[in-house]
Amino acid sequence: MKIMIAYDGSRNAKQALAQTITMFHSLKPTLSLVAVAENPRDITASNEDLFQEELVSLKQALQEALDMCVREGISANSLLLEGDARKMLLYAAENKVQPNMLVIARHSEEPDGGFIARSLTYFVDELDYMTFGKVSSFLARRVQCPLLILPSC
Amino acid sequence: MKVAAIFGFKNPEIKALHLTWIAFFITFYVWFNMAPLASSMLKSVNWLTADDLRLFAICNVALTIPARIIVGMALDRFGPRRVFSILMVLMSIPALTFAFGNTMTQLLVSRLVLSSIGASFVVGIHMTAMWFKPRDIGFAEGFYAGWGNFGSAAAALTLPTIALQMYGGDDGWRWAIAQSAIVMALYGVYYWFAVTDGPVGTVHRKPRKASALEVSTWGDMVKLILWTIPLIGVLAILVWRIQNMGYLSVTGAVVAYVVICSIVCYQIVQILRVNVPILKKGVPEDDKYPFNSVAALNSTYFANFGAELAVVSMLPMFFEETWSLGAAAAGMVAASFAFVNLVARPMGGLVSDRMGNRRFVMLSYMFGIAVGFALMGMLNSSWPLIVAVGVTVFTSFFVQGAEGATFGIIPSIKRRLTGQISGMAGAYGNVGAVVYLTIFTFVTPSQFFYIIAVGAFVSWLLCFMWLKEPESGFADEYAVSSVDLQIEEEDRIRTASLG
Repeated sequence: MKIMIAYDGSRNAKQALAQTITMFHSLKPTLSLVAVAENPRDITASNEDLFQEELVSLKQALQEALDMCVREGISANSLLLEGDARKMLLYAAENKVQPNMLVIARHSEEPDGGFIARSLTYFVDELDYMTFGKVSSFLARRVQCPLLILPSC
Repeated sequence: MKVAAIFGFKNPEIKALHLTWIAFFITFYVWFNMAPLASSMLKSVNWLTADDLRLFAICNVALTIPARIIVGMALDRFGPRRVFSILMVLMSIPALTFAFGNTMTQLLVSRLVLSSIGASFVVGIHMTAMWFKPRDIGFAEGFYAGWGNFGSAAAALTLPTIALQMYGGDDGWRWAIAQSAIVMALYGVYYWFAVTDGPVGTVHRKPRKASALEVSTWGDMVKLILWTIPLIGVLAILVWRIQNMGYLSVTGAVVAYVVICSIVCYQIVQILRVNVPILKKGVPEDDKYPFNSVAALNSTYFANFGAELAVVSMLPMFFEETWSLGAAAAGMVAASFAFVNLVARPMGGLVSDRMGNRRFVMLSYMFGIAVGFALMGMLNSSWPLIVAVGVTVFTSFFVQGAEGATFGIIPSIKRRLTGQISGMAGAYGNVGAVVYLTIFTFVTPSQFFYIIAVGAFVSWLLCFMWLKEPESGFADEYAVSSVDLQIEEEDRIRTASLG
């Protein structure tokens, strides 16, 4: 049993990893943790440092997650990619890892700020869902293996 | 990053973003402070002709390209904060000279020098890049570019009113322009003290600076040379036109041609110096990138940003003459073209990010521009004004969306060369403006719109043939080619030998 987890080191991703281990521990799965560093849509070279920082922090997050898997006695490997998160996760699932199941944590950010900020966020998000969707809906439409979407609790 | 984050004024990066877009906004306001006042100038200065104003419009975008090159060098040395401040303070001088100019030479030269202000775009982009995390940068820069570009619309909206109502009289336009220049100088001083280059305490490594773009094959090098010639070469058109209109002696023109020629030759020599050793050694397969994509994007920026600069420079007068409106009303109507910036440009980037296929998005936008300008070419006084405004907004929506889409593709052509590729594409926007505005001195507005439509269609064809859907880097680590690794190694050795 091969399970691929989209992992970015965020609170939700950590929870998803923990839940996956809890649920599927008895099946002795192999976990593939896949992180994607977003390529900055930027036209200068002056933010190279920032990009490298993000890479380093993702690598660190992956390493921590792997250590945790080792402690739990689960075999795991990791993969770090660069590009558009949705497309790269799809690519990894289809061509690289070919898992029996893909696990992603549903992203939910509570908007903060006042009434204006909240309604603006709400409106933009609604547009987002209507037009293209975020990572989870993108993958839900396209990915060829079973997909488990874990809500954040 | 949530859209609502732009209200978080307490965050240092949001504060920097707001300060920077306002700076860019002011520079654009000053850059396009002539078009909305053109008719007032004609009325108050009796020796000016409409042809002179068209010539000023060309001068207004001419030196932007060389200025970009100089500003690019300055950025690497001094950082965006200082460069932006100095640019704003310095450029208020020609703006004031223009405001109170009484001779043709004075007006012409000051406008020519003032065209350098167009390089401000690059400075702000650098500033934004230093402040934001990679995942937020697309939105931050879209916001910066869109709202800053709105400066040209703001100028069209407000300047006629300021000139006619606030100051009034024959010299109202002079004071309106002078006021914008003084505001810019003051803001430049304020900006110096208000921001820092990136979060406090960061040390920026100087990027490895090459004097020319690297290419992958001999054929690509030839293409690069061909595409480099117009960057400065386009100024020859301007010289020819000025001489043609009798403001420059033959000797003066010859001197200008020689200078332009030598700069072009210098650029070609640089290309050869950078690339011949690389190509002789052979470029590894994994480091190759298609130059055709760069060429296609140059053409799209020529056809969209070039068209925008050109159209913004002539639209107020077009509305004024066609529908016989007052200066203030025409300014308002013409501003609808730039108004769309607030939404369309960020949206272009967003759509390009979100749709599965960037190439398709680019092609659709270019096609839309061609259709939009063809429609604008049909406009005349028999059309109701409201429909004309609708057509203008429709066209503008595609023009600015295409700008966003162009810069949505650039970063994924070749990561290491992004800065240089975008510099080249950006400069092509100005090449487009100079070419279009020169054509404009010969034709009627309707013919002019048709020509822009043809330009957009040609660019669409080039994209169709040359533009490849960029592939994301993909490797077990992350997309580094062998050459990238080599550069890293060199850096390591250098720092080791220093330390």
